[in-house]
Amino acid sequence: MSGRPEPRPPRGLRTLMRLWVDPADLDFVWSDIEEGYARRVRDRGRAHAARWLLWQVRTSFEPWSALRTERAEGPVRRPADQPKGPTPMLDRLVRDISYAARSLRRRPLFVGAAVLTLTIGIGANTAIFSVVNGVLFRGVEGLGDTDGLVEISRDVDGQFFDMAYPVVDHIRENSGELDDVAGLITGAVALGVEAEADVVMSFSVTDNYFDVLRLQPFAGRFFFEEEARFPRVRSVAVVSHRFAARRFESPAAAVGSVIRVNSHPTEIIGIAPPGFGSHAVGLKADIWVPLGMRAPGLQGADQLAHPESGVIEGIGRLATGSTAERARSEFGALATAFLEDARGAALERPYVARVENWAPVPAIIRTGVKAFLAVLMVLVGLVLAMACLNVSGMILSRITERSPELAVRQVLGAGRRRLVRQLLTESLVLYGAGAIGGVLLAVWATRLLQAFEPPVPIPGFDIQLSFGIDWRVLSFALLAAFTTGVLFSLAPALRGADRDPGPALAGRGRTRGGTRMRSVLVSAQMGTTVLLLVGAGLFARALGSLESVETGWETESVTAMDFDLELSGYTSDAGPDFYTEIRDRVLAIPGIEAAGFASKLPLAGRSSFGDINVPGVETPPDRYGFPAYNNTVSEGYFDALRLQILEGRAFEAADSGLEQRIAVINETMANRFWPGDSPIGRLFLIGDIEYHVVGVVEDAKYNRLTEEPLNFYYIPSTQRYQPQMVLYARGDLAGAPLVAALRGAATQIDPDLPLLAARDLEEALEVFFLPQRIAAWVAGALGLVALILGAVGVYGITAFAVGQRTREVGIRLALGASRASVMRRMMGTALRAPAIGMAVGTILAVLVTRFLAGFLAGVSPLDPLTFGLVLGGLAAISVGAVLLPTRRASAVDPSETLRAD
Amino acid sequence: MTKKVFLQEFELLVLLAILRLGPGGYGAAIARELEETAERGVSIGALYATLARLVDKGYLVQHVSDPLPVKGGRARKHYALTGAGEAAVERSARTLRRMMDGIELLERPTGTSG
Repeated sequence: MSGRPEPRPPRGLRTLMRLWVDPADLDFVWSDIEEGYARRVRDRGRAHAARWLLWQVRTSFEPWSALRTERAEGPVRRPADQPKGPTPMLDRLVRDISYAARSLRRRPLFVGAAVLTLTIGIGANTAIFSVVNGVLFRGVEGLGDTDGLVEISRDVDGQFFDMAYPVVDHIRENSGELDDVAGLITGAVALGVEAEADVVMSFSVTDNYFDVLRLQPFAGRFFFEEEARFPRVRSVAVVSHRFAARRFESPAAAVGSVIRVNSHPTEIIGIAPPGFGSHAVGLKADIWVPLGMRAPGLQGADQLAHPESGVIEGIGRLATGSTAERARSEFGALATAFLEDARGAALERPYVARVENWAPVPAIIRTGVKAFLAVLMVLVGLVLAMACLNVSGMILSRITERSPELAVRQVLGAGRRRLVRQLLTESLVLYGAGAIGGVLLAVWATRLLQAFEPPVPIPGFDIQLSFGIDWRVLSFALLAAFTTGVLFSLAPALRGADRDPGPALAGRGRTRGGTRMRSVLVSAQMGTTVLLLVGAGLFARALGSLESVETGWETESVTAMDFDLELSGYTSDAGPDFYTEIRDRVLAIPGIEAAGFASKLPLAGRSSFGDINVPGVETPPDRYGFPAYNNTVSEGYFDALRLQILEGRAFEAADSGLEQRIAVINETMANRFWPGDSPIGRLFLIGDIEYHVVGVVEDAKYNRLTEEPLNFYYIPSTQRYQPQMVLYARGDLAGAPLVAALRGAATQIDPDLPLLAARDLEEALEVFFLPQRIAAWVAGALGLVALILGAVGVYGITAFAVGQRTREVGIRLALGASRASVMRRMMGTALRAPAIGMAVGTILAVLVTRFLAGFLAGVSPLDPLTFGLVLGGLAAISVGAVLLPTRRASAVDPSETLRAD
Repeated sequence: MTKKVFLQEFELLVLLAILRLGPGGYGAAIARELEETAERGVSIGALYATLARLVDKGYLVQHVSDPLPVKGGRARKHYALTGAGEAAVERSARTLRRMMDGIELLERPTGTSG
């Protein structure tokens, strides 16, 4: 019989029943339950069947436990008219919990402190885990079928590089391993509907982007090949459902409207499915336009058509049965052949592709994101460990105080197991309350996080990536609470049950016991605190040093403005003169000190890259050259960004007339290839072309704030024309008046020149500081929590231990010891445990912090200031924790203490 | 010493159901028989515990059949009464009849009396 499958009861119940049903019978019981369930669903409906099922599970427990007892002890006779009482096991559990609750109710302060501590620990973990969950596990909203989806880029020495459009188009036509490949460029555009414009994230995509992702439009349609395959491109766009809903009467009504993409009129042809923003997690584009559409600020056709440019990312779908690895090698071979054909010569190195199975986090940042989240989880795990240690300390103190009660119960016949179970149940009740509190705290914290507004507007930045609480987060919280609860409460519970009841009954229970365990606790607590505080401190220091990190350039009072000459039809003949003229006019504006053009924004992460060779310096055998990055800049660029010329000269207008090609190199490159020698007049090679070094400029950060010094060279724009450049102008004039003046200067020369974005460079670069800033902020918050927990914990346990020795202090004083000598003695023994903890924590920190180096711009993982402050602070806390109670104990009249017993 | 073991009511009903079903009685079938003829809800867990107890007491024998020849078919445990089982049913029935004797309160539509 085919058709619908038989309705089946949830398997989880079977697992549950395994707890009591004889394993030999379980299969039969379950198969009969399945049969009965299916019949009831058919005859009486699902609701009835579900009730029957629950009844079955519930009623199966008692007969089995009765049978087990019988088998063990012979038949049990129960008077027939007496109702069946609760089962022994359940009974015990209920009794333990109610007893625990009663006993805890008598100590509201202890319960409050413990639950609050656990709430913080579990809450912090749950909150961070919900972030991990949102980023790594939840997937990408609106994206359906991801089977066989791959991310494609170019691999140069293990680094990710963008690809040339012609290469991707060639692969799209010729690949057997890939069903389809789409190319894309991400960016930001001003999107105008009627009078208002929003800056939103934009994707320039090949016509097949949505097909590769196997999406269906919510309304309208996606791109046709005839209108959207470069170079035949019309001005059409697909917009996001949320944008259409926000700016139009209804999302579907947006289709057919004309909007402005950076002031360029564009027709909306379709609406993306609801929720969809891109194929990556947390990235929400609002508009997709055909790659090559010529609106101001979008990628120009010249670069796009160039077979050796690096401008687009790829996303593809593997053919059935293929693998990323096979697609990778095929891609490399096809691309190499294609480029050699295009060039008419062999490549210096074969083309290496990077094809990686799709994941919610884009491949280029996946490793970094995972490492960052792992570090966070470890830090927050340490916070939980500290919270648990604190609570263990409290529990231990409480058990010590309760020893008379425990002794009485022991004498009255409570077995060891019974006592352990009782004490453990009490702890688990606390942990359970902590878990509830923790989840509530996490809900609150993630709400706060979702409301987070970045300090600078980032188009497409969308933290609404469901950091919410779902079943994974809940299970995590429960599991964390339960595991840590058992782990950290077992030792004190065993300890409490293992006492000889004699001394406790005789009233001397407080003199001894738990001392060693308390020492271990203090040491562990101290070690964890050191580790956590050092980690958090390093992050905080990194943030501090980030503010002053030597990027090399001074971005203050620099305004950057984009120019796109291709858009206005300038050719490589007219373009250079135009740039020169603009620059002259800008310099004529009062208050402008310096101005220059460059093709790349500093730190934008997309420097051009190539191999260079230097005559006389041997290239390593496994390499094709030395990796170096470059930028094309004009006269005045170094002045505008205040990059010091260390030797030789900067570029000049007259360079255009030079026969030979020239370059200015950075300090790292100079020291690398001509150590102890002047590089001026020397040459290096890019392919076959010789470049003569005319100047050396100081180093800067080019791609990332945390990068190692890179080989970097500058090519004069007079020798390499770029139709899209950024103008940097330095001057006292700032903000809107400057922008207006710059625009005025440009339109004086060409009234038709489209005016592009102008922005304060410092603000524009702010976004690159954001990841470190968030990391430092989170680490700082964790550090603060750690400091509080650590201080409270160490103080609490130490003070309690000293307090327990009040009697001893009394005896010593009564026997004639001086207060000073008693104090010294107490300090000596009480400080040993914290000292050991600090030593172990420091060693661990030294071993571990090196793994954080990638996140720590400008701070050594062994930063002496951080270590010093942490250790000094904790030492002070420990001394205080011993000193204060010791003084109190020794201030007491000895006869008082002694008489109290 | 011979133990005088009495059948509990549910045990008796289970044994009777197996007798009624004849060869081939297994868990779900027994449960259904009890539900339909004895008109009471049957906890399958309780049923198996009782079956296991009756096997322990020597009133029942069980044998496990091959899995049913359908997709996902499971093996079943079939039960049959032993001589002791039959004797126990007999004894209980006799006891019951003796105890009912002379009680006129109950109307029996079938007209038979004990």
